[in-house]
Amino acid sequence: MKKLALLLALLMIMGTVLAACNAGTATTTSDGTASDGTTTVKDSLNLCINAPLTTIDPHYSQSNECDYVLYNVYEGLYHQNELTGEYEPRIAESYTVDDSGNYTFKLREGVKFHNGDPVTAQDVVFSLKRCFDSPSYGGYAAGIADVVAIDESTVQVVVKAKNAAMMNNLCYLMIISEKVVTEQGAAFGTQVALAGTGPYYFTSLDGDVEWTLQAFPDYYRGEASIKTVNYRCITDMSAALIAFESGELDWIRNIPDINWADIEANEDFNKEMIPANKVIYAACNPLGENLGDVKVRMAVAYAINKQEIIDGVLEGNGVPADFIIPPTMNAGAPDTGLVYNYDPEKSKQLLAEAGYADGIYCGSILAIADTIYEKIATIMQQQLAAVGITMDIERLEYAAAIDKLMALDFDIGMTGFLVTGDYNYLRNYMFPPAFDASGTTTFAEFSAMFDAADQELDPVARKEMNTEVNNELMEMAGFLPLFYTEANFAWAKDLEVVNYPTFPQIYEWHWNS
Amino acid sequence: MYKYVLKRLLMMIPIILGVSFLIFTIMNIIPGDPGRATYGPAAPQELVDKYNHELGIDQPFFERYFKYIYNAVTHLDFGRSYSNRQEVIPEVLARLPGSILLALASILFACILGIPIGALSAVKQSSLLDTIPSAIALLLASLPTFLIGMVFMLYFALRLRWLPSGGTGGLDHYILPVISLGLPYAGYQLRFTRSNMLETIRQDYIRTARAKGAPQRDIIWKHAMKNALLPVITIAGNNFGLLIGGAVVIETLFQLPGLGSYIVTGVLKRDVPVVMGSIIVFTIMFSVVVLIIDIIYAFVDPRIKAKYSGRRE
Repeated sequence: MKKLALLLALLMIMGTVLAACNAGTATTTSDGTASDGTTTVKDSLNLCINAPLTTIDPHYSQSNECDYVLYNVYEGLYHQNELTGEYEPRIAESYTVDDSGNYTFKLREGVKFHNGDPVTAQDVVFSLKRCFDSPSYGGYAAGIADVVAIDESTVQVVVKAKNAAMMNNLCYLMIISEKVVTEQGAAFGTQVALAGTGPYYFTSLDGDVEWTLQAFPDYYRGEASIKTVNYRCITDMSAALIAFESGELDWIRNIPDINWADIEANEDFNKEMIPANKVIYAACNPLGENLGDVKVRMAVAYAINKQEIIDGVLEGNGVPADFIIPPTMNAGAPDTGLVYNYDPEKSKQLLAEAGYADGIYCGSILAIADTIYEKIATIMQQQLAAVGITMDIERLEYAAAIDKLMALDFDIGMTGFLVTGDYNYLRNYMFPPAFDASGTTTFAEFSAMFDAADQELDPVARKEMNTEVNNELMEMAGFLPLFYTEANFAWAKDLEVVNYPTFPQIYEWHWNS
Repeated sequence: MYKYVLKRLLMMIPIILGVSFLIFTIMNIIPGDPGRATYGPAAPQELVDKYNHELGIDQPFFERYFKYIYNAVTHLDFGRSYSNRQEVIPEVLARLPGSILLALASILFACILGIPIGALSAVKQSSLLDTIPSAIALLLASLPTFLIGMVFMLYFALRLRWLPSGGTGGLDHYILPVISLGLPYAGYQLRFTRSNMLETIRQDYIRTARAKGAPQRDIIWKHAMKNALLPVITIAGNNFGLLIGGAVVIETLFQLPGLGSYIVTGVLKRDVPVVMGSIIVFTIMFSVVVLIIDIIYAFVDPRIKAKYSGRRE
């Protein structure tokens, strides 16, 4: 017994010693109070993202969460303001477009990388070409045939064909230092690197836990007001909300809808909810069970009560979607045309015309487990059953669900995506076999329409052409938009922020002190 | 005894090989590929295919497996994460101390809380000192660790502001995770200790000790506890081994970068090197922990030591 007690005591001491070895130093909270009680100037910020920062290579970023951080460290030639849609100059100060649709950019003088080197045309050539093979940004660079340095401060982007979305695409192709990337080689992205031109640079990096950004003193638009940004990775949103409410974080987004009412009622911090550039939709697969008939797919469309889904899943915090791409936030996106409103009687009528007056079994609704897609699927299953369409629900974890969606091995798939400012983004979700099986159009025909619209540089004419594209898509009844989400934010009382739907611009924030 | 230890260490080799083959097979059977799991549905298919090709995903199954084992054995190279291209083993070894600390502290907390109360509960069987702790133990053992963690976080981090809500740092960052993880195990330990004590105090030698006039205190703490605790300590040791890689819920909730969360992330992203390397290290750790427990058992129980030594005492 004594031996056991001694052993337990030794283990306790060992555990305490191990814990003490992990003890950190005193930290400074963003309100200026150090954990050891002293007061400092309020110039730092504590934030979190909901996924690990797996890489700081902006060309191989693996999630939007990573981009929330990286877009404060790296910049493109231009930046698209999410609220106004305007293109704001960054590394480039101006551009021209020739008759062939090629873009020539004049680089701004005085722009430096974080290591102090000036940005040259060669860096731009290197950066844009590097994106060609990137799974993350290869789609944005797909329309570029070549990038040429005309001189030290002039770059030409040669396009494969005229492309109205090119400026939008270029905004997401970040310019990085060829020298730093070459020096770091395969390690670039995994360690601190002074390769960006943005208002902040990394000073420490432990991508699974925490990292710190420091304001770049030589930033060409002036040093940021907030000097230090401390990030944590908090994957669980409930835990993140508790951290925010207890003062460990200064700003938070993606607050669960179930908690939003409490946040709204709390006077201790600021809050805001704005439209997000994200659409949730049901992909109705013409290759799915009994869904080859367009009348059955249209019956599905008319059977869906979007507001009921929004109320049930998002506590009412969403906007019913008539179009697959939010029209108010994306260039070239149509805002008129064929729309499916909730009409269960019409749904039943279409089923009867298709020969299924007594009902039909249409396989499964595929949803990613433990996400809102699963909840949407549950409500939709009931709505479809009410008109005579019987469906099961198939829940799969993320990778397995995406695998089936990409292979078109589903009947109805619940999914969604974040749009990045242009109707052209829809191209990432086109699946030729689905079009060819639709009975309403072929992929070749649809592509030709879409390509023609993309090559129209006049915004008004392009929008009209995209309206036709959208009508073609809706007649196919393969993409059934359900709702646009809303982005919510809460932040400390004395922090001034400008909230954008997707990518926060910390440069524009400051403390009122 | 030394022969026994050597034999157990050698047995780890086929176990590790078996585990590695099983995990490799499962990771290759389940649907999904690392390229698509990493970059999402919007990534162009040809670039995802190119990325997968660079990772070697399209090579034959056995070629990839034997190449992995060869590199692991000859160069101690367990591959690089598909996700961030970092070597797996340094990342695993960086996370291991945190996981060990969390597991060790949680089990110690569970033992310190559960064992004495379980013993008392057995000694005072059928009284309030038995009924109430047993009911609480049942409740604790039934509650999910996530729920306990959330409640503690809400109260101690948010309401009282006594402790941080998560992250790494000083000792205070581990208090809530340790208690959240340890309380359910305290419930198990309490119930198991009680059960073993009840069985032990009914043994003939206990009756003999009473008949000889030994004080009740000596009977319980000197004779009964020593025998009753042996299986309890064994269970605690096994649980400690399991918790090194099995505390993923608490690691996620309290943002602790542990081995469990690393494995789960690897599975979700189909990151075969991460899963393989992590589970191999975990297998080794668990086997060593179980061996240490068995050795401790031998030192505490002379009957077992004699058996391992191949002679009777």
